[in-house]
Amino acid sequence: MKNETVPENKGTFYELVKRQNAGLWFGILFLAYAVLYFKMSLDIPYHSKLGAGPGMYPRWLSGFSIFIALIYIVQSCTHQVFSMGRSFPGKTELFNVFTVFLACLIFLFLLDVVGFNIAGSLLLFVMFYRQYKMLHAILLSVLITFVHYFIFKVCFSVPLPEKLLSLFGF
Amino acid sequence: MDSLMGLLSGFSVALTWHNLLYCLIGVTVGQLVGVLPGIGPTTATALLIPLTYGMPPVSAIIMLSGIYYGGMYGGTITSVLINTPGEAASVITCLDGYEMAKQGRAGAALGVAAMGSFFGGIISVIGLALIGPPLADFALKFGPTEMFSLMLFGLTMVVGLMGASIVRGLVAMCIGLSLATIGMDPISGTLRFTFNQPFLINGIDLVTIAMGLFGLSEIFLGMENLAAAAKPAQITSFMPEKEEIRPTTFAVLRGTFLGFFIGLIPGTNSAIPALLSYSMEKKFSKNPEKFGHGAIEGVAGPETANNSYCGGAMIPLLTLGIPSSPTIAILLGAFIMHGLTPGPILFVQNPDFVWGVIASMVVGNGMLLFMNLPLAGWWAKIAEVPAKLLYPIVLILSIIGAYTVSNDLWDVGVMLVFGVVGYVMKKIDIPMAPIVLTYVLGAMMEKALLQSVKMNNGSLVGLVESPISLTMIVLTAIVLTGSIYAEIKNKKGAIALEND
Repeated sequence: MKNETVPENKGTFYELVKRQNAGLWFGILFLAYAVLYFKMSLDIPYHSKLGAGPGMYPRWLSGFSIFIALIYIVQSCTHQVFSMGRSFPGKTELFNVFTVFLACLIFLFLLDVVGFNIAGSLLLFVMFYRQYKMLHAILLSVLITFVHYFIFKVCFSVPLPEKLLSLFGF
Repeated sequence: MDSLMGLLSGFSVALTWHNLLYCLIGVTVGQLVGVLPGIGPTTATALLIPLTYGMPPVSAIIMLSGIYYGGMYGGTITSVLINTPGEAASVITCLDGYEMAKQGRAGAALGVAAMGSFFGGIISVIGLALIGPPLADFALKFGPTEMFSLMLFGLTMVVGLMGASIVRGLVAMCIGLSLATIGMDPISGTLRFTFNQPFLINGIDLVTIAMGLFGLSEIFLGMENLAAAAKPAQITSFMPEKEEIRPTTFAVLRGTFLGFFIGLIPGTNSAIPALLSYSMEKKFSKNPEKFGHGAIEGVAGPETANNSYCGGAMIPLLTLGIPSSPTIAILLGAFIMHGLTPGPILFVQNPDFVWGVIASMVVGNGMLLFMNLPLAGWWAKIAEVPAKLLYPIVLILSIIGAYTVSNDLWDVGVMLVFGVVGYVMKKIDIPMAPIVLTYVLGAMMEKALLQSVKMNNGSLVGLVESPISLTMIVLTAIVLTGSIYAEIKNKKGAIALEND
C-alpha cells in the first residue's frame, strides 16, 4: 500500500531528472547561446567604409535567435511539453549510449599516441565486447580496423596516424 | 542544330575506350564516395585532381565530372538504407527514403531514385547542349539581391514545411545560420567568433556537422538498444506500386525542370533544388501528411532534382566560367590546371573538349543507372548487416571521414559534439535538416545580403525594387504566413481534442 501512494524512489536524483521538462532546459540553453552570440556580435563593427559591416548580420540574427528562444521556451512550457522521462530512454539504454560516447573520447585522446590501428581496435572492441564472444570481438575489432586502414591509408592516401605499423617498418 | 551536331561529335570523343574507362572510374569513385559518409564529391574531386596531371584535359575533366554527378547517385543509397547522407543534397532523401526502408520498401525508394536520377541527368545534359547559352544569359540577371531573396525563400521553405512545428524549425534555422558566421566574414575577411583559434578561421566544415547530426546521432540512437534496432526488410522490388507510378512520374518531371533551372543560377548548390523539390512535392501531393513517413514522391522529386542540377550547373561553368557549387569550383580549378579557360570562348576554341565532356555525361549517367538498378541489391546488402556490426563500422567510417576533412582530430571532436547535439534534438523533436541546409546557405546568404546593401548605398530597398527579388519575397511571406497559420490551427485543433 505504501508503494501506491509514495513511490519508493520518488526523491532520488534520477526521478528528479526524469520529471524535468527537456524542452524547457533546451530552450534555456539555446537562449544562453543566443545571448552570448548577441554579446559577442556587439564587439564586431556594425558599419564599414562601404556601408554594412561584418557585425550587421550576426547582430540581427542573434536578436532574432533570442526572440525565437523565448517563444520556444513559452511553447515548451505550455503546448508542447517534452519531459525527460518520456523523451529519453532508461538507465541501461543511456549507459549504452554513454559507453559509445566515452569510447569515442578515448579514441580521440589515444589516436595521436598509439596510432589508428590500436586506437581504432580499442574503440571497436568497446562496442563489440558485449555483443560477441571475447575472441570474436577482438578479431572483429582488429580486422575491421585494418581493412579501414588499408582502404583509406593505402587507396585514398589519408594520412592516418600509424604508430603501430611504423614499428614494423611500414 | 549546331548544338545537336556538336553533341554528336562529342560522342566520338566520349566513346573512345580510354575516355570510357576514365568515365567509368569517375562515376565509380563518385558512387563510392557518395556511399561513404563524410567523403563527399567535393573532397574526392579535390583529392583526385593531382592524379590527372598526366592525362589529356578531356579525359581528366570527364573523370572528375563523373565523380561530381556519380556522388549524387551514391549519396542516395546510404540516405535510404542507414539514414546517413553521403553528401548535402541527399539530406532531404533521408526524410522519406529511410522511412520507406523501415517499412521494407528500400528497393522501391532506390529504384525511383535511380530512374529519376537517370532521367533528370539525361534531360539536363540535353538541356545543357540545346538551350544552355540562352538560359545562362537569363541567369546573369540574378545579382546579389535576387540571390539573397532566392535563398531566403529556400530557408523559409525549410523551416515552414519541415517538422511538426515552425518554432522548432526556426530554432534549428538560427543554429545553422549562426554556425555559418563562424570564421572569416565573406566580404571584409574580418574574423568572427573564432576565439583566436586557428582551426576556426575557415569556419566549421559542413561534413563534420552533417556527419555528427545525422550519422553519429543515429548510431547513439541505435546503440540504446541493439536488439530493437530497426532493420529494413528484404528488398523485393525496385518498382513503385501501381498507384504510385503517376505521382512519381510527375515528381520526376517537376524535379528535372526545377533542378535544371536552379543549376543555372551561380552560387547555388545541389541541396537547394532537392529542398525546393521536396517542398513542392509536399504542396502538390494529395496526401501531404505522408511526407516524412515514407512518401515516394519525397524521394523521387529531390533525387531527380539534384541530378538534374548537375547538368544545369555545368552551364554557368562552361559558358560563363562561373562555378555554381563547391565541386564545380574545384572543377574550375582543374580546367585552369589543364590550361583551359572556361567561358564562351571555350566553345569556339575547344569544341571537341566541351562536347566530349557533355556527351560523357550521357554515357556516365547510363553507367550509373546500371550500377544503381541491377546492382542496387548489392549496395542494399549494407542494410542486411546486423546492427551490432553495422553501427561500429559506420562509426569508424564517420570518424575517418571527419578526420580526412583536415587530417586533424579537431574535426572528429566537432563531429562528436554535433552527434550529442543531434541525439538530444532527436529526442525533443527538433528537426536537424534545417541546421545543415541553413548552414550551407548561411555564408552565401550573408554575402549576397551585404553586397546588395552595399550596392544600394547601405539600404535594403534593393530587395523590393528588383521584380525577381520582390516575387521571391512575396512568396516567402506567403509560405511563412501559411506555416504560422497552419501551426495555430493545428494547436487549436489539438486543444479542442484535449477538451473533448
